[in-house]
Amino acid sequence: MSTGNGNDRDRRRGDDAFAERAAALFDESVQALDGETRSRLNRGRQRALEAAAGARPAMLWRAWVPAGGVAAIAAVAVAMLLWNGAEMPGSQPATIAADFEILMDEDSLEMLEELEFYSWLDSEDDTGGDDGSEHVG
Amino acid sequence: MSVLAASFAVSSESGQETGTGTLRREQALNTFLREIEGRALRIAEIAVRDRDEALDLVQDAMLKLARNYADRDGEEWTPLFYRILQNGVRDWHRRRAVRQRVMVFFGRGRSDEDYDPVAAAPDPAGRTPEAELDNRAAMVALEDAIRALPKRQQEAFMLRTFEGLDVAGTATAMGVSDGSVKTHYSRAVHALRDRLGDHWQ
Repeated sequence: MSTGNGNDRDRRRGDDAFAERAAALFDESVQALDGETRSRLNRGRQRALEAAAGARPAMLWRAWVPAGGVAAIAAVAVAMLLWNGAEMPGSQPATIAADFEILMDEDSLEMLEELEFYSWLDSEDDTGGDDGSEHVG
Repeated sequence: MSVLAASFAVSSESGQETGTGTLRREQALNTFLREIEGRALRIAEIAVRDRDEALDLVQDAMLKLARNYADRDGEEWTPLFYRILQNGVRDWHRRRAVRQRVMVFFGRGRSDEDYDPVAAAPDPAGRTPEAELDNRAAMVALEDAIRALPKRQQEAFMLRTFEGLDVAGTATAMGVSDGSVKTHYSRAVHALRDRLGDHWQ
């Protein structure tokens, strides 16, 4: 009984010592942040405070207006999400809707544009392009 | 003094007081964010393993806190700020997973959603297991061990240990009960100690 309590005490003491060392190492890594990162944090903080005060218009987001091939790629991507949802028993409509929302944001649009470019590149490779050049290998 | 003039004088004084109060509040918020930003960045960076992404997440959390909670009591800011940041980190992981699936669907990605090119890259410092465990290497080992934990344990450990939040503050930041925080934290510490071994300490 007393040995059990002693073990618990030792374990807790060990946990506390571990957490103290982890915290000290973490603090050291924060202190070691370079000047450029500090400067970026400072600029980011100022931008956030200005935007919050209404001195600057809302930032970061813009309306998503797909065009041409990107819209087609997006449609296929959404179909893929729905297909994946049907394949995975745990997927709920709410999850699929959330995934769809993610695909509609600005960063995803950039990714879809890249996919469109690569698809075009692939089709050029398949047809040999229209420059008459030959494929080797 | 006419009634109109008197009324103007009163509203000017009141407006001045409000303006002063707002300025004081903005200064307090600026000070709070300046003090917390370095730790917040490192916590986000450990979670997403990318400094640029972590900077974006921290700035977004700053903006949301300033917009929505600036009028709250200053003591509430820390757990609120970390709640926003943790939500941002969770969204970031979710977005990454969805995009990864799309990339795989189009044959442009890897099927393993957990694949991380940064993690897979050789250690630029060329460390070996036999290398001396100086503080920086110890921190890198700790970060790797933290990333191997389930997400909730990561959050509980970093908020309690790195930010120094108490159980109640951590519970607010994570959106869970006090008991849940204690369980996640305890499991995290034991898992980390087991993984890092006695020599780490």
